[in-house]
Parts: sequence; C-alpha cells; structure tokens
Amino acid sequence: MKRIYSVLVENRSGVLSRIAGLFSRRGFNIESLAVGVTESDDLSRMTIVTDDEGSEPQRIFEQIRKQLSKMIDTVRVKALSPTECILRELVLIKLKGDINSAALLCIKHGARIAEYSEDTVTIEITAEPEKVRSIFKAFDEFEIIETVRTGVISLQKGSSSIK
Amino acid sequence: MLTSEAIVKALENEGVKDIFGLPGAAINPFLAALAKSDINFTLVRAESAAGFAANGYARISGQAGVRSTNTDDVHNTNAVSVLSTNAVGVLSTNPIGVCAVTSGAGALGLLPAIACAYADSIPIIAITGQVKTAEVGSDAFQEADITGAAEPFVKYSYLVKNPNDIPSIIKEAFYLAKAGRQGPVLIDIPVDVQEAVCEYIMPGDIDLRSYKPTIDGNSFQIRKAVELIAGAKRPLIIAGGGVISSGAKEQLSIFARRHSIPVCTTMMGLGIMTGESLNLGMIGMFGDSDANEALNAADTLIIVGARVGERSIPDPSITKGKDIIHADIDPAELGKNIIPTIPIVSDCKSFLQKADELFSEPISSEPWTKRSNISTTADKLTEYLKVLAGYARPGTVIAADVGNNQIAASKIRIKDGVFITSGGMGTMGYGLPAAIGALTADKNRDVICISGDGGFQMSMAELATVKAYSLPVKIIIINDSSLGMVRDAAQKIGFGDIAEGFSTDLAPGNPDFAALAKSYGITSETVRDYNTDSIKRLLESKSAYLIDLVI
Repeated sequence: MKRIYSVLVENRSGVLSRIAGLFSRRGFNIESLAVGVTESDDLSRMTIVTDDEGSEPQRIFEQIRKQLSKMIDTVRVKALSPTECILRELVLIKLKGDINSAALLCIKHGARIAEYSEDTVTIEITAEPEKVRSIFKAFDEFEIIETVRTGVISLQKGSSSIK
Repeated sequence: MLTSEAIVKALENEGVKDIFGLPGAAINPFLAALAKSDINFTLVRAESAAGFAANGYARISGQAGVRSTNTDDVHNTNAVSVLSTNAVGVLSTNPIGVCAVTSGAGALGLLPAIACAYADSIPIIAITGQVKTAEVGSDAFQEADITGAAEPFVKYSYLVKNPNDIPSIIKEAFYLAKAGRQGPVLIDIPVDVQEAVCEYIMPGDIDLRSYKPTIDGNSFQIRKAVELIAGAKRPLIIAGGGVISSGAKEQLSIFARRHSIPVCTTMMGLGIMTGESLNLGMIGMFGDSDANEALNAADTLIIVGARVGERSIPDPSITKGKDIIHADIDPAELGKNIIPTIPIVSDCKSFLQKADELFSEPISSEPWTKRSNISTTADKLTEYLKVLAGYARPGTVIAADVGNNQIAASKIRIKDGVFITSGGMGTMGYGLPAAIGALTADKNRDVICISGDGGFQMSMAELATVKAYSLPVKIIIINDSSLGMVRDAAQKIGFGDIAEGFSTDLAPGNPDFAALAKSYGITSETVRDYNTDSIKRLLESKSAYLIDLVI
C-alpha cells in the first residue's frame, strides 16, 4: 500500500540524515524522498513515499507517522494515500539523436526540450509518477544516454494544507 | 568571556552540581574552566563509566530524598523503624546526569552509556570535545563524527559552531532531556569553540514549535478508560519506568489501593509499591509467577508508562481478548508492540490523577487476585539476598548489573528502596559506575552494587574511582565463574557449556576479587558458604566494602 508522507522540518544541517536514518534503522522502506526549502527559509518540506507490502500495513503506517512526528526537528507530518494528493515528478532524459525528430515526440507527450547538442537532446517532463514509465517507453526509439528523476513531490488536493 | 567559562555558567544555571568524566585534549579547555567552579568533577577510569555514573546520578537525584539518619541506629535488625513512612526530602532542582569526555575514541567510548540511557529513557547530558572546527571532516587525530554515530541513541544532538549559541543550546538540551519522554542529549563542542571569546546572552524560555509533548491526556479518552475499568471484573495495572520518571509512584499506589486493583511492574518499574500487598511483582521472562498468572487471567490491562517490550510480554497474543488501556507520554509507543483498546497520550502522573477524579467510588474493595503463599523453593542465594533486604536501610539503592545477578537482585524488596539497572539495553558493566553515580547524587543513601563476575570485570577499573573519592559503595559480586545467563540461554538451545570453542566459562581468567579490592585499599572478603554475617559487615562498614560471593 502506497503512502505519501509530507514532512515539514526545521531547515538545519543534519535533518535529512536524521530522517533517513530513522527509516533505515526501523526497517521502513523508502520508495522516494524529495526535499527542498519552503516559502519560509527556516522550513524545509520533504515528500516521502513508502510502499508497504507487509502483513500489517496499517500498523507500519501509524508507526512511521508517529516516529516522524517524534523527531525533534519535525514541525508537522501529514500522511495521505496517493488518491488524496497531487503527485508530480520531474524527469530529465538525455537522448542520442536529432532535435527535429525528438521535438515531435515532445509535443505529443507534453515534454520540453531543455538543452541540445549536435547529436544529443535533453528533454524534461513533469508527470505523475505512474506516467514516467510510459514516457520512457515513448522515447525508446531513441538511445537513452542517461536519465534522472527528482522523486515524487506532493500537495494535498482541495483546500487543505499541511499547516 | 571564554566559551569554556560560558559552558560552566550555563550548566550552573541549570543547577548542575556534579559532572562525571575523563579529560583529553579536545575537552580540556572546558574541564579547566570547570575546575574553577563549584561544580564537582568525578574523574572516572573509562568513558563509558562516566555515562553510567551520570545515569545512576539522574535516577537517584530524581527520587524523593531520604532523610539523613543516625547511623548508630541504622544497622540493627529493626532498621525499618528508623525512617518515617513518608520520608520525602527535597527533589533535586534538575535531576539530570551530566558527563564530559574528549573527542574521537573518548566520545565513542561513551556510546554504550548513551544507548543505555536512551533505551531506559534516562535524562543525561553528554558533553563531548571535538577537533577544531576547521579540522572537522579532515580525519584529524581523535576525530569521530559523534553526533552522527550517536544519532540512533540520542533524543537530540548538537554540534556547536557558534560560541554565542552555548547558553541557548545548553538550556534547550536540558529542556529536551527532561521534557516529554526523557532521554540523553549530546552536545559536541569543537575545542576552538571552547577557547573562543563569546558573549553570554541569557536565553529566554524554551518554546520549540517542533516539540510540544502532550502532558495531559485527552479527557474523552480518559473517561472511556475509566468506564472500562469500572466495568472490569479482573483489572490489572502494569506499571513501568514511566511511572518512576514522572514521579507518579505515590499516585499509582493511591489509585491501586483505592480501587483494590492489583499491580505488576516491568523491570524498569521495580521500586513501585514495594512491599504493598497489591503488588504481585514483576512480569515477564524472568518475572514472578503471581504476576505472570495475573497477566494471563486479567480481563483488563491498565498499562502505565511501560512499552510492552518482548521481555515483559514475550507473547503479545496473550493480550488477545483483553481490554487494554495504554497510557504513555510517547505516542509512538502506543500501538507499537500491541494495539490498545484505548490509547492515551499522557504523563503517567497526570493520567492517574485525572482518572481517579472521574471515579465516584472505589470499583472494588478486594483485589481479585490472591498472592500465592507457596514460597518457591528458595535457593541459598535467594535466602542470602533476603537477609540483605532485611538488614538494609529503607531507601537503599540497589544498582544491579546485567545477567542472572540482575534477576536475583530484582527479587530484593527494600522499603522505599530504589532499583536501578540497564533494563532495555542490558549493558553489562553498568552496575558499579551507576552505583558511583547514585552515591554521588545522594550521600544519605546506602548504595549496594550487585554484579556478576562477568559484568563486574567490564567496569572493574572503577574501583579506582571508588578509592579516589572514598565512596562508601557496597559491592556484592555473585560469582558463578561464568557468564551465567548466557550459559543458561546457550544450554536451552542445545549448546553445552563448552561446545565447538564456544565458552561461557570465566573461571580460567577470573581474578581473586577480594584480593583485587584490597589492592585498591577496599575492605573485602570472599564468602563461600552464604554466611550471612558477611552481610552485617558489608552494611556496617563506613567505607567501601566488597563481597565476592562464590556460588
């Protein structure tokens, strides 16, 4: 069962390692983790995605939420299911090939050309996480040189917020 | 002002009277400043001992004090009459243990003690020296990333970069160690920061937006709990270390007596309702049969300040079909090991007070349990320790090590006694340094360290600390010439005592412990026949005394 944890933390050194360490030492698996500073310089926001296939997902879900809240650096935790969230991921793909043929596919899939050289094109796509795989597929007529994903970031749907 | 002096001033502002530690290049500026202050410094012989001593210190200074008594009256067999029932003294203003050691290997040596305090939720402040700020990350001599290494075992940690932050960091560290669920806090201070000039700005009140522990439980939840207890046929209280650390021992006793609800404790809860008829003893793997039977038979469990560890309730499925009220200050403990019917996030004392207020009348006038009068076939060791309990002064501290000696010590019942041990981490070598800390915290108490020959050898060097400070620590080594509990466990899974190079036999290397103590100028004797006269000599001694009890 996939869970999305939005975590507001104090923006100071050591926080990321504390949070990551909590997951590893308690045996909780992280599927992705993205972190960045918020509109206030002293707060960072993490989006952590977990996928628990175990026998007691509800207990693990509760434990992760409580252990995250217990961290002294944690200001707020909101744990949601994917259907309650807007989920986005940024993907960069460096392709071998010519810009004109890549451009067509980009238009079709809502991607942008971020940079190009004589024989490579780097495209950027913002998508829901499930769509990323199909996008890779769409470009498989090109030789993919390398790719990178930011990890999922998320905001709750509707008028609610973490505050 | 020098930052080293600012550290001392900030500690004085927190009411610190004693610090345990060991010098070294990276902590020397602070220790030099400390030497000029009124704070007493106890020089130990190994870093881990500084942490264990701080642990023992925190646990005893957090207890209501015992009145100073006339020692002439103390050691007669009717010693119980010496103190009034409610010998409540003044609580230390800030019952926290403090230790200070140097960087690198010194700081790393403190890790077992930090982890020990974390496992048992004991408030200690660990101050470590660090290499110069500019050298951090360069693999300098005696450099270790101690904030990183200690992260899994601390409530919080600081690496001080700005000398001006010292007053606020130290104030916050003391707050965090005590607030909510208590625990160790680490402050790592580079040596150049200690030597820098700083401005001492008095910090304001601590108000952390990211840390606001819940003290008073949700009143709706407490009301539901009370309804459940009122309807219970066989309610049972399970009291853990949280009851002691929240100062709720008296409150729990009042609550249990008013409603005639029997009480069991975990190992960390020993010392709660000692000697009271409602107390059925300790639950768990090494617990008392009355307590474990009551746990099986109860229909409603009221778990207060206990985390339901697997040594206390090895098989959580026995709680199936029972209603469970679980009150703890740490929300993460609720639902971690068992799923409670009614979880209550609350300080234990507050919970017990609020719950009691909601009862219009006592739910019962008779406990549903009966204590078995069949005394389990008492072995000679049990008998020996019973005699010790009979002679010991009220308020005596038992500082137990880890292993079979700890289980034997856990059966000792002394009026107003305090039992301290490494419950969660099972850190061998805890006993002697913890006894040193306990005695430093309250010189009016008798402190008896009960250790095994295995655990004792892990902190044996602290006999030097006992000698150097003339500490009247009483030591009983229950000497079975082996790592007894490990041997028992190994035999259970089919190992012999020595199988394929596996051995728990300590006899080939054991020293003559009595002779060893004598070499430190500590009076000692070897007891081979459980001669209980040795107990009188131990307790009557005005200075340190060691018994090597060969079993």
